[in-house]
Amino acid sequence: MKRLFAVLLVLVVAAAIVSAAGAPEAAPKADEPITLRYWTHEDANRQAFEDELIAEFQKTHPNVTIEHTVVPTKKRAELIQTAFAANNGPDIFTMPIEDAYQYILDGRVTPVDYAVFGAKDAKDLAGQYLGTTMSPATVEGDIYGVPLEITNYGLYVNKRVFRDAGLDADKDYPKTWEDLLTLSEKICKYDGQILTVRAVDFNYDHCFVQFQSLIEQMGGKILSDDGKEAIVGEEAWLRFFRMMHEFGPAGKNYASPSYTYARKLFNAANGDIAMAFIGLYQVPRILKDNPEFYNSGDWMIVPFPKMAEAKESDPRSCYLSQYYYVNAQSSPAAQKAAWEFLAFCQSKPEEYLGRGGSVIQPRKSVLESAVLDTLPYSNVVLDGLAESKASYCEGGAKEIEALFLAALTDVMDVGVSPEEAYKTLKEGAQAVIDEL
Amino acid sequence: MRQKKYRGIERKLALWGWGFNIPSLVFFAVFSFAPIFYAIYTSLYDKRVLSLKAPNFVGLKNYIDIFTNKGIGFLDSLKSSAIFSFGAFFPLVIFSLLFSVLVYNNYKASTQRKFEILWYTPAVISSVVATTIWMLIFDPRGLGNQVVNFILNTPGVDHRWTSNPSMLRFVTIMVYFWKYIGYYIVLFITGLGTIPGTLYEAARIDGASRMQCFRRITLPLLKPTISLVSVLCLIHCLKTFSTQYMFYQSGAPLKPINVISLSIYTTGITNQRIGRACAMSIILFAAMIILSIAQLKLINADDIDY
Repeated sequence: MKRLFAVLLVLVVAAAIVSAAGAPEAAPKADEPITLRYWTHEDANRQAFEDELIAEFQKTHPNVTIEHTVVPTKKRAELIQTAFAANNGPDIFTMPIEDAYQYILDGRVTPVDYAVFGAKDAKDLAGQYLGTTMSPATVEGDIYGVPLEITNYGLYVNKRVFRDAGLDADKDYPKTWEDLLTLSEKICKYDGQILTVRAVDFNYDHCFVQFQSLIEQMGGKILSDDGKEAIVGEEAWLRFFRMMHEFGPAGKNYASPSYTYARKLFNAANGDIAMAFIGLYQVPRILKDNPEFYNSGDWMIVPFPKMAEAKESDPRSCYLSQYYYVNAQSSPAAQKAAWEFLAFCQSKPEEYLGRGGSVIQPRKSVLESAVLDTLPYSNVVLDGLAESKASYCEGGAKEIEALFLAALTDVMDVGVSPEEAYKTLKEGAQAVIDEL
Repeated sequence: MRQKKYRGIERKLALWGWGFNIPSLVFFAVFSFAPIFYAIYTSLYDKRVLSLKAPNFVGLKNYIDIFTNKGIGFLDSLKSSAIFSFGAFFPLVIFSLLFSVLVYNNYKASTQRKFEILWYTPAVISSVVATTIWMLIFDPRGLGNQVVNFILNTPGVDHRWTSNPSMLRFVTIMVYFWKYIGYYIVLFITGLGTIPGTLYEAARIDGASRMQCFRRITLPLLKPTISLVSVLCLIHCLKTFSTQYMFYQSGAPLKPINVISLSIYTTGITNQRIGRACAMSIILFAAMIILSIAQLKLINADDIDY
């Protein structure tokens, strides 16, 4: 009797499991309570603005609760990755495309719900945005994210430091990379060997955005057109590394990845640094940190320099593409609510450009925005964006970028020869490509 | 009626012992042993962090790759770890022993506690604060250059603390020393407290000097603590991560400080190759076990009787 009962029990339980697994997922109810976890990187201005957007969205969607979590920018990639590795990723998150590309390839994020954005398909949605700004997030015909911000760098110039060096920033600002090197020699000041006035700070966190266009203007490439060869064009790469060697402490000591990051130093305007490559988001930060400097007229943004030999048609610079993504493991109802929230956010590009931290959400309407008139030099940055292309973000981008940074610090700081740095980078990057 | 089985008192005590130890054994099994076995298992697969597909079994390929593929840089990491461990281990053990003897012999217990707290403070300072402090010190215009140039009378020399490979290695060892010496001092002071004071009294009556007391009494009787500290210190040095990570994040060149743990981090987290990272961590684990056993044999701490 006991055995019969046990067999029956096992059969009942098994039947329940099978029927539950095979049952179609219930359609989400309109008023079903949904909690969305939204993780993004720190930006005080944007955070405050997005908190307002969340409150506004929740009013019109009373069943949706959005938990807004801000994580340190440098920790973001590992925090989100760890959460996904445990199959507990946030429903919505933001990330540069080169970090997120593997999420797309591994099916961790879902294609955009085009209908929510009033679009028929991917092409129709891409048409709502400037130029090719949606192409980095497009894989096999589908778009996997909507832009949080597209960032191209302008060259921020402190006119006071130029004056101290006997230069007129308005006339003498660098138009080419060669100018930048020549000017650096005139601007830098030393106490013995110690650099006291720094010429320029590059953005080493996003090496491709900073240097890819320069290498391509010299004829080099990160990846061959057929996608099989990494670090193409030996001569261009060697010229690039020779130039960077001159910039670094192992060369003439104008700049170094190990020197204090200039974003905050530039705002302090205490004569430490003359130029820095930063996005448009820096403008409100100057106002916040140093209103006297902001209003002094002693700073400006000039276009990203090109190589003297660059053709007119060569992209001036590369831009960093940060998108919002939706977790493919979230429930269908949560995914739907997430895209609705993101469509709501994407309807406010002018506000993102203004009080949202001066981030450029490349909706076509942004070019006509009145906010642009209130943001000094926004025309320089947006004109630069029109002449730019997306930085390399495809397979292995993150690994190759890390190898690139290592080669750069070897050349600039350690004094490794350009030939040796090129060889190491080429071998490492090729191994990454071969293993894809 | 069943006759009650007689159990000896030792057996009863042993059962109680098992009872008390089982929770910690379960804890260790779940949180220490299981991850080790899982890491060994994962190291045999080409597992990528984000992939939802079942990983391919690759056998020992991950182990072969890390030793033969120069692009992975694991052999460079072994070298960096060896240099760091050699550079940090001896100063840490020797100075923590000397400082603790100095404090133990010259100050009363309440003052010893204050010293312990003082030495231990850096270990509890947040990494962010420590990074900020040290990067300010090692800035070309920072305190590091100023102090060294004042002492050496070399005005205007940039010692390139964070850009020159040798200096960078020295700096990581220095920061590590600053951060963790307090921990070992606390251990040594505790060990010193276990040596009976009567031995010193008897030695002094017999006319022994302080140095003789140190050499003939303190050092031999402190062998178990020296053994513990040196094994812990070696393991900690081999596992070092946060100090190198802090400098790497601040723009320092990676190669001179790319110790094994940092290499595991970049392989597993940045490059998402968790199978390969597991293979690296198994190698590190094996190295730690072998070196620790060798060290215990060398010190022979069991050979103490008083």
